[in-house]
Amino acid sequence: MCVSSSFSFFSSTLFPYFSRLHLCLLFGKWTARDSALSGAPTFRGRGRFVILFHIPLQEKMYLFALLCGVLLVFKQACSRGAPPTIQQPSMSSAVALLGQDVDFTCIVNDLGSHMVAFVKADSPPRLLSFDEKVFRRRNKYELKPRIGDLHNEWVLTIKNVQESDRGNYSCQINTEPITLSTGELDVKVPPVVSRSTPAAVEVREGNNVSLTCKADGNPTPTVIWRRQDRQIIRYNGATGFGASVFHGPVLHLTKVSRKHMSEYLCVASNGIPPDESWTVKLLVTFPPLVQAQSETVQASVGSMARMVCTTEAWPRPEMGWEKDGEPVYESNNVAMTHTVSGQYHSVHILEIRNVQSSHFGVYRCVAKNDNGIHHSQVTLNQISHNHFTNSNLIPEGSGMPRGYSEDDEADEEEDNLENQKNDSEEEDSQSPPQLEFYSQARRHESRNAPTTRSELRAIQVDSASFPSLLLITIIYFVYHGF
Amino acid sequence: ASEEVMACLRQERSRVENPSQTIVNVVAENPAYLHCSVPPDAEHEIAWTRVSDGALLTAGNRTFTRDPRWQVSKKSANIWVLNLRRAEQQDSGCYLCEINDKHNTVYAVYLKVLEPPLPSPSSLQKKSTKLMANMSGDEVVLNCTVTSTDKDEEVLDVVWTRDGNTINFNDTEKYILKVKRDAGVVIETMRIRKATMEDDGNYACEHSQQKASQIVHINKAEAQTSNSATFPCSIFSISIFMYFLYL
Repeated sequence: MCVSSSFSFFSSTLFPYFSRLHLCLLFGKWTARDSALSGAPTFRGRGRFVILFHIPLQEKMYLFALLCGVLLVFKQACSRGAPPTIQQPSMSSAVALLGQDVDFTCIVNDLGSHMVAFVKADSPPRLLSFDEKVFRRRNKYELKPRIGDLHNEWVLTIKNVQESDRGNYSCQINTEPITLSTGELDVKVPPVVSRSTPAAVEVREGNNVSLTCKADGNPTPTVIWRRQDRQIIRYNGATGFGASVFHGPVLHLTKVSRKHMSEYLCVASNGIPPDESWTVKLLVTFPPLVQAQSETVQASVGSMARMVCTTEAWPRPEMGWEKDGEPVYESNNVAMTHTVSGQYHSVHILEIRNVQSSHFGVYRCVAKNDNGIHHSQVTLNQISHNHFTNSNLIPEGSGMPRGYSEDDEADEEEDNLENQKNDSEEEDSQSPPQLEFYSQARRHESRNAPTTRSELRAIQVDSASFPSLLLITIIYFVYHGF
Repeated sequence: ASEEVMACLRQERSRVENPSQTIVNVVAENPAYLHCSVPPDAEHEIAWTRVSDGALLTAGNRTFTRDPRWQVSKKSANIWVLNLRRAEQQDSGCYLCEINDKHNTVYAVYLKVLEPPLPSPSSLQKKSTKLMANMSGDEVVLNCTVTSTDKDEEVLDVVWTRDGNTINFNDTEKYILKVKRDAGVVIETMRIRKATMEDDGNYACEHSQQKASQIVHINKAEAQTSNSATFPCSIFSISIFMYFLYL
């Protein structure tokens, strides 16, 4: 026990040893001079003086000084030193982003022969390093022992921090009982929207719907909803209360109307860039609604006739024209046109280029989709000769068909025929894997000057050892005198 | 108490069941041995941790704690043994063995230290045999005390056995036997010289159907510690002093 303590004493405090050695050298010289004086009466004690005479004085002085030094050092080593303490701030709590490296520093004073260990305070606890050795995962944990100006800092580096590294870390010294200092590591994670959030939601008009946007991260992200077309989000029906931005992960709409049909954008943010967004397309299904621009169309034989219908429907309906219960097909004389004028609006035109007597009658404009079927009726009438003459007197333009309704104009919007790609892209939140080799940091060979406290302790130690040194000197003098 | 044991064993993290003993019962003042099995053909290291205060006891083949009662040794290619000399009541609790494999395997061992049984009044009237073991330098000292309250009966010889086999005392380089006799009490002291791990075993002394046994386990760390512990500073100082006188 004392031997190991002595070794530790040598390695930890080298400077006071020099001071003590210097003191021994001083006394050694003084004793040498005394020996020279006592050497004058050479004839007394013949045999013993012959032995002493052959040893050179310098060598004798050197051995004496060496023995003094060894004796004093050993005596000091056997006495117990102060227990080590952890100097604050040590193991300060750390906050890191994903992929960063984190340092935990433990400042230990008067370590002596004690040892330092780093532990992750889990249940069960995990040993990371003990003394100057890393216990597990040498490519992730790095230990720098005895660094700093006073060689009393122990630094544990955690590389490429992940979420699983979150928790408490302890620096432990093997005193009895143990000395501990604990710090916490928090890992900040940018927001990540769960891929289980659907990209498209279909709901029947009049029902309720909830759009959910689950986002994870640290801190917990805040989620906002807004419409891609920047219109107001109405929470209750087509004319209920609404706002342009909704705060919260769940957007709940009651009595959904066809006006709710749009792309909804959810944005998750928690202060750690980058923010993440997700687009949900809301599709509101409803039966078709067909309306004829004019219920009666007048035409004369040989002239051109045009019948127009407007339709609201989702999903997009199948359109057709019927006459007296039988479908009308396109031919050289008959043409049909379909135009999409909004997300769920469309215009259908039936044009007869050369009206014959057989074309007169009742026509139907029929729309059909999964949710229902609807039609509107248009009557093609023949103009008599007398009426034809009268119509020529009416100025041009007064007979124009009725335009779109005001509501239709308000809801008119461009419809993207192609499906828009999702704006949010999956980002690689983890750093690319790195091939690293662990090499333990070398101990610093150079040492700086000790502090005043260390010098004071050296002086005290020397003064405490003075009586034993004086006793040895007296005995030596008596021996030579004898 | 059983809940405490279950809470201890729940801290295990391993892919296979713990092959070693998970509950160790030991009487106070006796040594305790906690085993930990590592996968063979793998150069893994282990670390023992005491759960009550989170203290690290040993790591690899080095002892971390400065409590000299704790030592660690490798019993075979894949079994590590945590040795606690002279267990005390407060040593009861949960001990974890960590293995630095890629699965971060953790085995849990619960140590239960029992109180030494008090001698009942009826046994005071009977003959009693006690065997105590000690370590002195590199020697193992076994003291066998035979007590008989019947003073008229003469005490016969005591039979020494090791693992059931009679010890051959003709081998004076290995075994030394001393006998002390008094009124009704016989104390036999057997010394095992230059003790090594080969001397491990169950030693017993038997007299008139009364038998006392003691398990002896020797490891190198303990031997070295004992050697260094018995080296007093004063002897070293006196040696230097004498050398100085003959200068």
